[in-house]
Amino acid sequence: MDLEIFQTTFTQRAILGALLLSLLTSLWGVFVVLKKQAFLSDAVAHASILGIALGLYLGIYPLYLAIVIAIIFAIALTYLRNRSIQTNDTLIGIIYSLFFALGLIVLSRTTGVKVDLDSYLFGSLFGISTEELTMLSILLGISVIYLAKNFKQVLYSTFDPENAYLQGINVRKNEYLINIFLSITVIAAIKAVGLIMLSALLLAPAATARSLAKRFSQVIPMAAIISVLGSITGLIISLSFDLPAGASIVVVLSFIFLLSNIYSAYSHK
Amino acid sequence: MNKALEVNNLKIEINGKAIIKHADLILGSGSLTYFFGSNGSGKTTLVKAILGLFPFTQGSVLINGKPNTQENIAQNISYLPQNPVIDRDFPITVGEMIDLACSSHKHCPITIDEHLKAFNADTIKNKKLNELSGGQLQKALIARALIGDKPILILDEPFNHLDHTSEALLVELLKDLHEKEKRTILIITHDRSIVNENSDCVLLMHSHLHSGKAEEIINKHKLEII
Repeated sequence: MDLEIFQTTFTQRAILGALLLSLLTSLWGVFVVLKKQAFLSDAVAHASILGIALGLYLGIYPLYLAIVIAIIFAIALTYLRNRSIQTNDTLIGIIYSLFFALGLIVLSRTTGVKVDLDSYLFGSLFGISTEELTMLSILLGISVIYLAKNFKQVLYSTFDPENAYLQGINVRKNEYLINIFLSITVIAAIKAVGLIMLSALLLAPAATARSLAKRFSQVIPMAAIISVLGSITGLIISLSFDLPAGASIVVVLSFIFLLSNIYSAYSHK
Repeated sequence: MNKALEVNNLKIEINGKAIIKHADLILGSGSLTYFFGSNGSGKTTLVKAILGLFPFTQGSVLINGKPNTQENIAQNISYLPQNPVIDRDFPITVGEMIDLACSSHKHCPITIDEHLKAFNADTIKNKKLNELSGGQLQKALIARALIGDKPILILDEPFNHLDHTSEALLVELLKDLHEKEKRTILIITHDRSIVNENSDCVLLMHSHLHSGKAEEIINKHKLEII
């Protein structure tokens, strides 16, 4: 591999993008895994097709509208979950199908969007813009500040919502905020790996850390390290063998996840 | 008598059907009360209504003379649930779980190590929840409920899964909290052998909520229905 490739602006942007995304997705991915809401991230990604479609149709930057749609999705889901007798997965399944269907209807009325749409479905880390890097940095900064300030409350609400309520914690507010942060994170990850594969980016490092950690205090740092290492390795493989960046990252992270599960299974025997 | 907890004419409905009607109850400050009743009689539901975890359609609940708002409950009550809403595969250790609970108290008078040692459970501090037996998990949850300085303790079936030694230890621990620290304690249990001269009052959920002195309730209702 020609090392000069690392000196090009687009490679440096891709590496910085992968780094920011890894940290961001590992932070919120931990709470997705612990809340057993793996389906939610996939659903947010699919629901966001409505925002992307509206953006392409109206000529507005699609990810901005995707963020708005994702936040509406998160709020609607959290609201209904607290008031409906239906199970979480039933609600998620129906609401995201509705958003996805509306997105397809809007797309059917939009012409000449094939190339643009592909970049959202499969990602284009090497095409990440300065604005997108800025957005990722801001989102990561807000997430770190929020979690640093409210970590115990967020953890308590996730681990034992009933007892957290009895300790005076506003569990519902935390639930809304976690789902909103998660939804925005999902949209941010679309650019890197595309909405079809982003679940792996969000879930694999967190699930790997969960199976390897001896205590909770190790889970987030471990997920962040796995996510960064996996993403950078995936990116190098992508550059070396001229492979799609998003797919390479997802393969590496999934491979680490599989190895950790094999290790956990044998170490507990 | 100072009233730590007061329930007035409470009515609780599930799907439009009243499962508890006209429930009245007063727990004096520093009292030790046992709460009996057959399965499905509504003991846990009544306690959950007191704690704001289950809605009631009529009546009132007062804690230290004030309504049972989340803030008032958080300041005054520690609770051990019968069936905790926790994920045992959550990668958290017993020590971390108790530390989390401790952070929501004004102060925890003793360290987690001392607390677990008093309960003969110091060996489980660094264990994750899915590495614990049923009895060890119950000990961990009791330790979480008892740490801190809240004046009212509500323990739902605290003796579940405990061996005889741990049960005796818990009885002693509760006796200390009652006699020395003057905490108000409400224990929901099926085990009538626990009722002793230390208890101030017994509640019985049988058609309606009955309350009275331990001896009075035991003799009147024979406690055979439990």
